[in-house]
Parts: sequence; structure tokens; C-alpha cells
Amino acid sequence: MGSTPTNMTAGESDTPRRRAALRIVQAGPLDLIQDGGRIGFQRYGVGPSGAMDSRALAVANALVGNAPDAPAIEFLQASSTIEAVDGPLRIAVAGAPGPVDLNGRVWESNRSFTLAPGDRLRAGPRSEGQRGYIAVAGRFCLTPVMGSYSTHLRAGFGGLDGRALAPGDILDVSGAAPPDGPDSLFPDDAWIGGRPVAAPETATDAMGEITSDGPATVIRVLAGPQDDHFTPEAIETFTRSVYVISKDADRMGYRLTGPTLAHADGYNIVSDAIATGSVQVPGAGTPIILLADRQTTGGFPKIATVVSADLPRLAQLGPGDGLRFRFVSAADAAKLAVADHDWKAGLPSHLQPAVLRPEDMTAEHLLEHNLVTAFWQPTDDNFPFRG
Amino acid sequence: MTPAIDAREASDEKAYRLLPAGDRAVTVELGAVVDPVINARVRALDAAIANAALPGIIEAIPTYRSLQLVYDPVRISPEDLRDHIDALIRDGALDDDHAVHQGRHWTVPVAYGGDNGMDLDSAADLLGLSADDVMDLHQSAEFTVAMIGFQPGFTYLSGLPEALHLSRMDTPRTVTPSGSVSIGGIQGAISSVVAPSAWHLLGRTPVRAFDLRREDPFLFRPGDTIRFSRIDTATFGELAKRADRGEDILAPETPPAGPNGADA
Repeated sequence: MGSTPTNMTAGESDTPRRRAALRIVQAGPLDLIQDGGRIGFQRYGVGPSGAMDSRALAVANALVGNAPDAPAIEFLQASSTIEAVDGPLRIAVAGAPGPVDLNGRVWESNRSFTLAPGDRLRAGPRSEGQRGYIAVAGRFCLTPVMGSYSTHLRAGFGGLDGRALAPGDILDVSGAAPPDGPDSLFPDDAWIGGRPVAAPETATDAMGEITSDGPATVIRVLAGPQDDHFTPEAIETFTRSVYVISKDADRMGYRLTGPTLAHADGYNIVSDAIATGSVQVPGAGTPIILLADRQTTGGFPKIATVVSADLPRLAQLGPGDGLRFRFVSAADAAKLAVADHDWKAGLPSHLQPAVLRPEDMTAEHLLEHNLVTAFWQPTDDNFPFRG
Repeated sequence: MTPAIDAREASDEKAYRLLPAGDRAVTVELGAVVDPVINARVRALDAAIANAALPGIIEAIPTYRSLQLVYDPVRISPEDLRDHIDALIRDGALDDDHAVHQGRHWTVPVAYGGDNGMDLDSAADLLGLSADDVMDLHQSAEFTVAMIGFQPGFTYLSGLPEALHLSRMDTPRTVTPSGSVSIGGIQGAISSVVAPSAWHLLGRTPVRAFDLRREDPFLFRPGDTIRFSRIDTATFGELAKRADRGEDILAPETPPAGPNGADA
């Protein structure tokens, strides 16, 4: 439905060099077009979808001069191999850290690359974290559905034909900024926004029993909307325990393993709306965190809701990772949300030129800049054009 | 999936609670049960909030008994939002005669039983009725669209006759066809996309509650009324083919009446 790549419309017919396409050569585990999300249709049962890590999406977009919520490719663990066709493309990779392979050479993430036609790029397996983003300068020639480019996998619309990218797919790009200037890198590293933070405490359950002494990421939550459906002991257990993300974890939600939570008065409620990050507790008593592709309504009590500023961090956790919930006040959560907004708005001012473009990547350059590992590591010594 | 629930009498008090659902949403809870009066208040509040055009409100999600407001915390503080909601309710936003979407009426064709409704016989057994009784009772009722939720266009119906109240199945099916007409607990439903369900599938309609090819992809609105009308499998097949081609095979019977009849 209406989501196939289309040619440029007449109004956008700039010079030929500003039009190019991106071809999927080999598919990654799950490459999806996602943007800031689909807003306004939850009342009709259509969830928001959108990037799981909105901060990493914003960084990828900033690196190529796009708006923070512009559509990009979200990949899980490793990306497709993509090839520039018909023209040059400027592409950024951000999010979970890991190698980026460009024509057989290895680079770091969180920077842009300028691809000539025929160049091939792939983000390899992430060294930590789950999700990365590939943004392209300009605009994917896709048709928005209900105001968004995000892929709604279950209902099969949005993005590219409502599905994951597959070999042979061609994504036309129009309005690409001429890739003349140097590539950009994000020195502070978007990953700081999403890096899991280990909780120093030893985890115990409500009875004081140690449930885990391994590292657990702190995820901040607001109580409610149905925290009053749980016993005081359950609330205590919820915040004192380490929960581990099970294999049943995807864009719809993360099913957790850990101590069960007792309902005060049954586990059925009359269906109401589910916010992104709400932690629902079905009859079995183990929590499920509901995320971007969740159902819009549900009939299980929700003990708490992850603050929006911690959703990117949560998005970078995966099966086997431990987490610990910590309650914060509504006032503090609102401050965190404003800080998150300001952080995204300030991104462009933090970018630096990445003076080494792929075509500059010669043996001489490597020696000159002491880049023996072939990673670009900007420091005051090897960053000759700073200032 | 929606669990089985008890019907209780509505309270006369227009009590409500504001429940935080994270830092970007607040749930205005008007009741805890399935009740037509509470559901009408949800729709009234939904309309009042839309009319008030509060700053920073991004979405409103009406359900059986609550209205969730999604907001931008950069544009409005939770305290200010609460104050706005309190003021609107003080000014009568829950009143039943508030500008509410005047429901349209639909007669939805259903092919009962067989492959189209694989639980018709088992549901009849559980209810101590014949399959004919179940179909008759199901067609006798006037349902009201209580909410759209779960999946795109999935239509929850109140007004299921008491003789058809039946707990959900213990083991949900992981896949049920789109257009399934089902019952669960005290509710009815029309599904719109292939989805898991623990409800009893009585039949299937060729009507598409959700079709992106339509200018308005969503056929039903909360407040609409629905009756079901039996069709045979041959008619189902013909109508399904037309729906496949993108034809509108169902129109509302009564145009909206009165000054508040315009669809929001």
C-alpha cells in the first residue's frame, strides 16, 4: 500500500547529482525504516512504532544534516550491506558501537561516510548494545502512511511495503545535500546517551535474598497507572530485584524473568490504553515492558512506566541483560524529558569534521595519523584541522 | 488480550482519577467497569478535550472507561495538564449531552460457523445453547462500539446479550483471521488484522474495519451502533472479493442527525 519507492516529483528535480539510491545487497537480521513515530492514530488501534532509540536516531540524522526525527534504517545487531547507486550518498551510522565496513576497510560508528556509486557499507555486529541507525542525507522517496514513514511490521504498512529490507530493495533518495564538505563525526558519542549504567548494589528480593550480584542497568520508572493493583510487597520486590530480559524481547516488548509480583485484587482490568514503556504484569506475575510496536490497549495492570528519557537505554539492552527499576517523581521525570529534548536539539553543535574521508584512507594517511588499527580516533595530536 | 470482566452498575457519581502513565501520558480514569454511562462520559470528555485544543496534547485515546492523553512534557507540565483537565470536568466535560460524536448505525454481514466461525459449536455447548440460538441471540442485539484498540481498527463492542457471556478460552490462538466476529467475557468484537486471540470465533465478516486504500482507513468509531446479519458462505465469498478489490461493501444506514452529527 503506497509505500513503494517512487521517483522524484517535479518540484524536486534538482541537478542530477542530487539524486541517488541505496541498494540492499545482503540483508541484516532486521533492517526497518523508522522515524520519530506515528502520532495521532492510537485512538484507532494504531501504535506509534518509530525508532526504539530516539537519541541514536537523532545522532545519525544530525550527522547528515537531517531533522532529528527523519526516517532512517534501524538495524538489529548488524546492518544490511548497502550499496550506493546512481550517485554519491552521504550516510551516517550511529547508535550501539561497532565496526563499519566500507569497501573492506573498517571504521568506527557515530560518523558519516561519503559513498561513491558502487561503494558498499555494512555495520558489523555491535560490540555492545542492540540497535544502530543508518541515516542518509536527503530524503527517502517513500510514501508516509498516516503521517509517518515508520514500519508497522504486524499490520504490514509504512516504511518499505510494511516489511524489513530485503536483498534487491532499492531506496531512492532525493534532495540529498551535495556531499562536498568533510564528513562529520560525533565525538561525544551518541552511545553515551544510551550506554547501560551498571548498578553498584547487590540485588536482593523482598525477603532480602540475593537474586543477583551482577551488573544491572538502572531503568527509571514512574509509578502507575495501576500500581494500586499490587501488594506493597510486590512494589518492594519490583524495585529491589534484578530482572533479566528474556529471549522473548522485540520491538513490541521485553518479557522479563525474575521475582514474580503479586496482584492485590486479581490481574484482570477493563482494557485501557498502554503508554510506551508501561510495565504490564499478567497473571503469571512476571513483568513485560511494552515498547514501540506494542498493542495500543490491554487488560493487565501496569505497575509502572519507564521514563521516556530511559527508553533509548532500554532499547540498547537485549536478551540476557539485567536491569533494575528505580522509581522517580513526576517532577524529576519531566525534567529528564526536557533535558532529553534539549540534548537532541543541541546535537548539531557537537559535531566535528571527520577530515579523513574514505577516499583519503591510504596507507600514508594511516601512518601519518598513527591509525594502525585503521580506526579513526580523533585526539588533539591527530586532528590537524581542529579549530 | 482483553480479559473477562464483570458488568456492574454504573455509579451516579462522576468520579474520576488522573493516573500517570509515564512522563508523556496521563490516564483519566472514569470507572473500572464496562458500563455504557461511563463509556459515554469517556466520549464526552474526548470531545471536550478536542474542542478545548489544550496546548501540548498530542493524542487522546478513548477506551471503555478511561481517556489517555499523550502530551509533550516540553510544552506542558503535568501539573498544568491536571489543572486543565480538572477545570474542563468542573465545567461539565463529562455531561452526557456534551458535544459527542453522534453514532452511525451499521448492519454488518456475518458468515457464521464452519471455517468462518470455528468456535460456534463449542461456544454453544459451553453456553448450553444450540448454534442456532447463539446466532439468533447474536443477531438480536444492538451493539455499541465501545472502543477501537489493540490492533489497527480492532472494534470492541458492548451490548452482548447476557445469555452469550462466556469466559475467554484458556489458551489463546496465536493466529485468527482478519474480520473475525467473536465474543469474550461480556464483550463482542470485530477484528481487522490477523492477530492472536482467546475469544470465541462465531463467524467472519467480509467487511474491512481497517483498509488503508480507503480515504478514511477506519470504518467504525466509538459510539457507532452495530447489528449483525447472517449471510451464507457464497455471499461471503462474493462480498470478500469486492472488498479485496477495494470496493466499499458497507455504508452506514442512518446519516448523522442533529447539529452535533458531524464526525470529528
